[in-house]
Amino acid sequence: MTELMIEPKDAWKQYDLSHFRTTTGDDLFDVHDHFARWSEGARPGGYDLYLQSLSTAPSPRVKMGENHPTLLNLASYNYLGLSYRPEVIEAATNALRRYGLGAAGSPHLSGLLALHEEFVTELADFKGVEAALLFPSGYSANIGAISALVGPNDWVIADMNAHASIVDGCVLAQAKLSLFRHNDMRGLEKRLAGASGRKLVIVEGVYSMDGDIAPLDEVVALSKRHGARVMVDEAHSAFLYGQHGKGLVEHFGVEKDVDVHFGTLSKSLGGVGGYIAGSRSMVDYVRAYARSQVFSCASSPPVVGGLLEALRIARREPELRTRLWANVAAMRDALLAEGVDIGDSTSQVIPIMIRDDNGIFALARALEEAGIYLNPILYPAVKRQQSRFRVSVSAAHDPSELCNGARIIGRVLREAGVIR
Amino acid sequence: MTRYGFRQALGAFFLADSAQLRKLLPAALHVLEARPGHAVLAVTAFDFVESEVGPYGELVLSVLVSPFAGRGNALPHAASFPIALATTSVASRAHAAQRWLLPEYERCFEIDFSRDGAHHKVTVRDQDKLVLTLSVERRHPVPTTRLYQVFSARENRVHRVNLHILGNLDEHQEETGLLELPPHSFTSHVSTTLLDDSPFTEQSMDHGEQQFAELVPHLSEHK
Repeated sequence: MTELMIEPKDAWKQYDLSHFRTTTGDDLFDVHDHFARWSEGARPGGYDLYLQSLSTAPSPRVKMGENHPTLLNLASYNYLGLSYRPEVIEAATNALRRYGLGAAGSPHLSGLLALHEEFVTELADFKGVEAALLFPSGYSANIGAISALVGPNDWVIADMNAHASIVDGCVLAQAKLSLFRHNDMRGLEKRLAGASGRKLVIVEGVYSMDGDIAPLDEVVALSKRHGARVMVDEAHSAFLYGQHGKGLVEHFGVEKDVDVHFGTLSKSLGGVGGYIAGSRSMVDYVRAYARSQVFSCASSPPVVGGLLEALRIARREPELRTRLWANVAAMRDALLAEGVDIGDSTSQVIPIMIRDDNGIFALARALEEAGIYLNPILYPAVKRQQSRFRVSVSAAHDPSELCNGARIIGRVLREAGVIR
Repeated sequence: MTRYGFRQALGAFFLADSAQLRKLLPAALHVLEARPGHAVLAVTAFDFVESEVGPYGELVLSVLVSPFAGRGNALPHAASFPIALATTSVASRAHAAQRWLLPEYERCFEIDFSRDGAHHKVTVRDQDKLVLTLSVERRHPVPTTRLYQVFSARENRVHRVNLHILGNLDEHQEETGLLELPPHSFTSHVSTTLLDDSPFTEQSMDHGEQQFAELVPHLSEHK
């Protein structure tokens, strides 16, 4: 057998993580050699910028080790700065002392604590719905809820940019998945019209890579017209949008029209976990059939204790949201003044579009040397040649440090010839 | 090694219904899914200026499949199974079928490449009947060499061949391209599978070369 074997220098640049996932071969592990060879080039080429550990809390200033310089942190999604608030830490400490580290059981058996019930009751009250259900992570909440709500004969109609956990939930459910182009309402209507039977439409509030928002009023109207249920993933919008911070559903005035409210607890509330909220009957049903809930240990008590306090702070301190949106405006204006391309963002997630899948790694190193902590994001997380840095603005940032950060970003991008 | 020099090439990848595309494959091959339930249909057109059978144009519809990643071999960038192939000359049609065991359409097509600003377009006609038009946007081409793998099937056996494609490649996912597919027998078995008429990936290449290794047996279709 004759096979061509040309491996030019920098051959790793022709490949990305997507190339090693679905292959055939004589042995299941053959592809590991290919992946290892690629990694040998990819790691020093830029992939070593991932999986770097921080030696500080995810606050506006971070360090990657005791002897490393302090960097301006624009990468963490600690949108309200709650993960390290003293009251949150104290509440987590109190829960740790009272309940210990773990719940030591599935919530269906011995793991459900009074603390869990207190949290979901307050969460449901905050969201203005009948009930809420807590999951150990946002990922487990989406795969659990979706796989409980739909089955092999049902349709899930989702935005093309929907999070991996939504897609994986559909796979677990063996549902018929129909995707429409991002925020394309004509595409949504076409998919709704073409899907006969039971339908669940799933969109996100704020899209985590582009920072744009879903036109929820249109999504809801179209879905209702076609008899579809609606689920909104508010991972990046809950506790931030709307007059009371209830999320994008409040911003659009469609709280009562959305059937499944989904959110995460790792972003605005600064802990870890996921939830769904809505009618009592829907929540009870998902509780019974979401395997990621039934077969997982209940959330760690100190985390839930901290989350409960974080939720209370988010409710009683609307000025946090006011400060966040002022910071967002300041950062957007500063980046735009530098001539930086921020795509279609309208939220606290602000992409810095680089559009160079190979060149972005050198820029990440230059930014780090200049004192900015940002993660390069490229295919397959986003489309090819739409690589970017993702700025996450927090209420904890100081406006002056954001503006200074924008100036540094502008200088680095100008020196690299990305902007003029 | 067999070489084909080309002046221009356009390619576009479309999301399509996995279940329907799976039916077009031999059992030994597996569709590559870009999303669950969504496989990839590739439409490619080449303007060959140098080959064993002289200059000719080629239009191929392929299903992207999982590449063969044997130990010790280079990993292909992508793999495909052509389900329909048409060319502009009788000699090239026969050549593709005999040398590479590729499908052969019953008639020759007219394949014209044109350009409107950044948009490069190929128009394919079957006598006076339009088969398809495909336009892709060309942005920032860079010199590239990529290893691909093509599978073919004949008499219940599957074969594969590795090929390198060299040239100035532009590839992006800006969704600015467009495919027009009027009813025609060449495309009728795939036209209903497409999710959208806009490709999620667009490719264009100029002044390049295909370098084919030898066609080798892959697996029995029943294995």
